[in-house]
Amino acid sequence: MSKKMIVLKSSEGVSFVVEEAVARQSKIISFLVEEFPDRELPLTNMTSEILRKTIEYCKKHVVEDDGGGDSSSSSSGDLKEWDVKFVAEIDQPRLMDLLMAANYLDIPSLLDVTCQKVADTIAACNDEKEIRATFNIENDFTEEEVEAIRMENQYPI
Amino acid sequence: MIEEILSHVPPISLVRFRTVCKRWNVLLNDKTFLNNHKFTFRFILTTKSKIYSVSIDPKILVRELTLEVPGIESHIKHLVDCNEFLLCGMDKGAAVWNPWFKQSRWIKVNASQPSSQVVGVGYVIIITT
Repeated sequence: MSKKMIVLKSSEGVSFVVEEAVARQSKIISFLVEEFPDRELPLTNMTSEILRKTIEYCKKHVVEDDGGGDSSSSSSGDLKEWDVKFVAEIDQPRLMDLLMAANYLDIPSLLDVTCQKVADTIAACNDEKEIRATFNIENDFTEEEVEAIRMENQYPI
Repeated sequence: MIEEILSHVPPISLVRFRTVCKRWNVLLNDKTFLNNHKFTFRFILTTKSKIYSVSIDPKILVRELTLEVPGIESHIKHLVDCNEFLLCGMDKGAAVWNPWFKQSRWIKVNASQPSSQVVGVGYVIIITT
């Protein structure tokens, strides 16, 4: 039996042909497929690179229907390992794009792993200056305000 | 989106990074954010020698909690889970422990009160004029 395929189009207009089961891990795509069957789905805010990465993730995580029930649970450890490697290989700006894509397409597990990776980067920073530099955050505090927060959050020994 | 990311950062790091920007600082005072944080737990489970936190998110997640003093768990006579703090009653005195920030403070017992019992945490408001 041939599997049903759907077409996703990136912001550059590149078409990606994906198995429906793979694409349906996105709740948004799942909804769109039902509303507009046999139509190409344009993802205008996703570059080809990010869309390719998202599809790679979904392919790995697709649960085969014919496996019957919990066929994926036996390899959940391997899958976790794969996830860690998957996000480790992506640089910071692309990781943020992938995180936004996971949020936009509503793929909870991809959102979770990308958030965790960004969170680990934050936790590994030495001070707030390093965080601001890494994530391009503007310091909107005055020196007095920073001092006040520090005083407020001091803990007695 | 920032809420989602920061809810994965361990609380102890979050507190250090309060001064990154105003938005982060506001989030750290936000009860909804704190309640949704991945490290926030629903309740505490204890066995004879170990303490665990249990969260439901929506999967059930059990984490072992360790007090900062090695081996102390076996000396705890009773444990009270109270206002997100843990109170550990010991042979001599008690410890108040904040599992979120892994901080503990000892409450020493006066020599005149050799036996005491841990009941809960309360607040005292001191008004100075």
